[in-house]
Amino acid sequence: MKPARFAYHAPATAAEAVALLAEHGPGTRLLAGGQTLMPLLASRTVRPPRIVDLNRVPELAFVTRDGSRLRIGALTRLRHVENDPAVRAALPLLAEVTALAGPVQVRHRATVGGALAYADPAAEYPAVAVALDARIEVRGDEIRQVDAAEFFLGAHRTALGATELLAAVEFPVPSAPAAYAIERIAPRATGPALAGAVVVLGPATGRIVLFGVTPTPVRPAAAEAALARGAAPDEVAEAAVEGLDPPDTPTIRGVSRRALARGAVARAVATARDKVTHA
Amino acid sequence: MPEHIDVKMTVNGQPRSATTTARTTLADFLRESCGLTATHVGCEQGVCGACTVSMDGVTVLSCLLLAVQADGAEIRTAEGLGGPDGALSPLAAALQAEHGIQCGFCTPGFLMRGTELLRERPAPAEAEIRAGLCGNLCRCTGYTNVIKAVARAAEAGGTAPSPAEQAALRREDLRLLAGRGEFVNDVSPPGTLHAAFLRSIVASGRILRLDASAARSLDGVVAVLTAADLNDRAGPMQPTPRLADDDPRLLPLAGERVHFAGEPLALVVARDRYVAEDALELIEVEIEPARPVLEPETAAEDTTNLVYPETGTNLCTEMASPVRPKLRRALDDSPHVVRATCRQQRQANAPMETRGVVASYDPGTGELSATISTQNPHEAKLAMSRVTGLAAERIRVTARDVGGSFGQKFWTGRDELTVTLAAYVLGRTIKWIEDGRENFTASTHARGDVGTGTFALDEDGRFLGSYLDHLEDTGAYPTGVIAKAGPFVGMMFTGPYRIPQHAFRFRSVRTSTCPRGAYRGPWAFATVAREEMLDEVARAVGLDPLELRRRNVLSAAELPYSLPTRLMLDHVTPADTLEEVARLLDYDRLRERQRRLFEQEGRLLGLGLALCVEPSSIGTMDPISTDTARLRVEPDGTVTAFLATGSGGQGVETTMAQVVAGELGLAVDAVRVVQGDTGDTPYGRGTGASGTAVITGSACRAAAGELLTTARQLAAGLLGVPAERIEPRDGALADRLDPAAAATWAELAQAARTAGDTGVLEAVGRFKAPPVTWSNACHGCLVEVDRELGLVRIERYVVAEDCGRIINTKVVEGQVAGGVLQGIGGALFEEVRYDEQGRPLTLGLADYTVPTAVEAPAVECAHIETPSPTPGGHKGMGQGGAVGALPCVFNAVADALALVGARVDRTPVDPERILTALARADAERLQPAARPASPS
Repeated sequence: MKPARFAYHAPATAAEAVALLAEHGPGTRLLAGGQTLMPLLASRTVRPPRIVDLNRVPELAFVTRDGSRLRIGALTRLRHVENDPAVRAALPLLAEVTALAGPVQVRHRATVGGALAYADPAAEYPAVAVALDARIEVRGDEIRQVDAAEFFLGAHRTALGATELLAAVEFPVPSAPAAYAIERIAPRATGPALAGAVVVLGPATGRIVLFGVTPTPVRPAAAEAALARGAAPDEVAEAAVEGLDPPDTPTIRGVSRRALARGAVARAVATARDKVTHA
Repeated sequence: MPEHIDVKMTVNGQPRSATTTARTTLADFLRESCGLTATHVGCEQGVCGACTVSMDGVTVLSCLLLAVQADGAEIRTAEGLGGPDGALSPLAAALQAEHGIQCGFCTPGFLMRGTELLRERPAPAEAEIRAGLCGNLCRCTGYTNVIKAVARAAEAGGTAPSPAEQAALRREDLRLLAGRGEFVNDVSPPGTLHAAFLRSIVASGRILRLDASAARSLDGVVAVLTAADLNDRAGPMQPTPRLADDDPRLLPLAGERVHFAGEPLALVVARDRYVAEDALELIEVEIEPARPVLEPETAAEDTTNLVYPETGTNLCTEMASPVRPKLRRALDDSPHVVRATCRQQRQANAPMETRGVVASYDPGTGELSATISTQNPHEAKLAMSRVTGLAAERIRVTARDVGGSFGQKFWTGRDELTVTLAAYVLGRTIKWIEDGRENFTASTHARGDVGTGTFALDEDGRFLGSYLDHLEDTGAYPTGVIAKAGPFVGMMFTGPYRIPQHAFRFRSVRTSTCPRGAYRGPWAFATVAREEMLDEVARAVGLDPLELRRRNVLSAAELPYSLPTRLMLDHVTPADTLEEVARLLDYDRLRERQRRLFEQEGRLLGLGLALCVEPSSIGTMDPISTDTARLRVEPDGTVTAFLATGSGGQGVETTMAQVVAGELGLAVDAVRVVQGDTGDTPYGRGTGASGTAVITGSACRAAAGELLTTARQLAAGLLGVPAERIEPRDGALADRLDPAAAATWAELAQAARTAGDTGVLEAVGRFKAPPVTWSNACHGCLVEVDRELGLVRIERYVVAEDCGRIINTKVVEGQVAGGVLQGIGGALFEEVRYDEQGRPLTLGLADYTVPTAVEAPAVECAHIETPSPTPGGHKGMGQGGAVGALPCVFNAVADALALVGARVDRTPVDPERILTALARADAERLQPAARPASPS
């Protein structure tokens, strides 16, 4: 299980990386943490002719807090995010979720940009980006900002163009700390979640984002309304999965996955409310 | 961009520079360019953690990094963790003291990650240790002792072993913990070429075309061998002639038809593995697909859709014992007659080290040497002799360290033999290391059984008779040993219970799937089916599962007991282990707690029990029923034991040294064990089938007895006293009546040079096993099922086992705990799946979800030591842990689900099956008139 041949570039700046993408066009793959791409290369499931390695682009690795905004560079390692004091102070949910993204060895290498750009339907990161109103900074010929809610287009599909790279992600920092909870339903500590939910309780409204049940993270509006009016967790959860019809897979039927999503929402709502009570 | 790139890095404090290619992984760079082979390549998918190294101060998976990415970095590997004087690091020492290591393949990864964890958290809580190690998989230890070792190392850098621990330390560990183990992939003689197989992606079909010309002309390719090149050169490929099932005939490569997805079509031999895989992509294959046979239950009756059309049937073996009138009446007319079905899923052995061989043939000398990952080097040698036609004396097989096997590497597989044949045909040295995908799709699978049992009981819940209809999915190429082991399930089905009448039908059926091979307890389904069905019976007759077992379990007074199938059961303690588990669990109190939590909070707790008798050291399965040991006294008075066994995690180098030292009255350190080399050791059975303690141990005792007889004569001559007065004392042979008169073993070796027949003080001993040496165990556990999410948490796990006299308690408990976790994996997580076209869906450890340190319960182990009638009083116990745990956990889950009327009838009981069972029970409650759906 060894990768096929590829041409390898290790640019030193983001501008160079973008230029390489522009020069060589589609088929060129960006390599960040490699925790997803490398297994695909090894099994030759993907075999790009050219790889642009972002790991020697220091300008892409940073965490900065600028008043009400927290910016994280795409090449920032997950392990760094979970331990970063600024992240922990501003967005404890983000720190907590990051620690769920695989074993330590993986988190030492995996990056924020990779966790978002891979757009894995079963992953926590895209859901949290949506729940926290993140904006994603995309860099190509020009720099543009994409709301997380608009960024994820399908399973492993994003708004990134073939000659663009994900440069950073920016989170608004709430003025008062929000109560939050994440429920990740999986039989084992590692491996993909079967379903999950993120709940964020702001002063007036609440957010619910489901993952693992639909191709992209989804915010069930009726459930958020139920959450806002203080409905019981079970009622919120029932509303959250209303109309959801995940497909059957070899390991789990859609109806079971739906039940797991329901359970995840009920628990996340209860946990988040509990945090409000005890705040 | 040039293909070749120069990289420089600092590895373990030493500067290293080499030319590599862009695609070379850091793991391969460290192993091939730096010669640092402690970093093991396991799954190559970033799942197993065996390749963990430290880069610039943090642990990373070196299979997921390119070497070029580490240019300029500081790398540390397991070789660099110990002291400069070779001293073990604190964690390594703790792993040895706690027996947190068995085969040692995953150990370097644990050392790297554990060392980092201790640096970050000097006093970690147990939950932190478990979570911190969840990226490192271990298939041997069950993690319990690994976790203890990390905690121990955290306490003031680790405490020194106590005298009792010191005496039990495994000597294998020193090299493994230092990163100096020698696994097959660590062997690279000069000029080694690398092989890769092209495999069918189609389950069934006719090969229309196979064109290797483009692959052959690729730079770096030495040969591309197809069926046309190799099949006519191949001798018989059966794993062993005495257990062979010669229909269908095994050939190196598929030539006309393929019979499962994964079947080898061609073998590329190239400069390196990367180029070999490039060449695979250039081979053009056209296969006309046919409808595969995938459902064993329908395949048995099917006469039109056949795996082998020429045979006219998919049935491979059929065997039935007669249903006598008395049993027929019992099954028809008893107060209780209960039918139950049990389905055990297809599983994988999933050793952390895949299969592999390095075979080298020198046409100049006519000699073939091979290093192979095997449990059985001598049988590998004979198999290589058969396939190449070379005389066995011209072949030498070595197997130093084996990274787990659990039965998969007992007999030498088709692929290893094909590579060996290729080395012979080409006159070269060829290395083939199976990759993770091949291990899960093309080596061997395990289990895949369906059983329907019928039980007759009297009014009091006492068994009157039973019948088992057992169907085994044997895959496309039944390996002989398995097709012959299957009927054993029916023969020993009644196990440790008083069931006076029993009959069975056994059928094995071919399917278009990966062949079924041996896996820890090939007869496991006897226990799995019986114990799962017993709980079903208990529910049907309204008895607690413990009470049903109490009423029917054999007591000591009833032994020896002739099973209805005439197998004799003796020297076992099933009733005692059952009571011990009930006591340890505080069973009645747990039942009460279960009831209370269900009534008050609706929670689903479940209690599971499983009794197991393990037929170890079977005496009717030659060549593995007999073993030979050779002992030689060296000039310095130490003793070398030459054994046919191998190092696959069982600690044989340690336990057999303990046995020999005990017999000769020597310190354990004075005995050295040489194994895993056919050039040095006498022919023997290898390591497997729970036979080392009884068979190899008894052979060691026999050899020691012979040696003592000779040595007594020599001592008598030296001391001038009659030989009858000579006895071992303080590491020497001494005069029983004179405290001062003794001859050291060095003096005896010297005396043999002049006085003995051969000039060497040595002896050979042999042991042939009696028909069956039974060990037994009872497993018990408490689980909680999350009714909303279908998840299972194991709260407690208890085993009471009787393996006779124990040689090394830590080794025994390690086998139990490791086996238990494999059983838990089978109960809750693991399943090998195919799609409806017979294409494998389980492609590696990312899909085959073996438990991590987070899911592994602490296994509490109690020992009852009832000696067996074999020389040491031991009984084999390597397999029972895996066998008992699966039904135990299943029963606990079923017990919890029964609280709400939900039923499951197959493993693994994963969230899908639990949620489906709960939903069905809900639906039945809403429609009480409806007949309960029978489980399917």
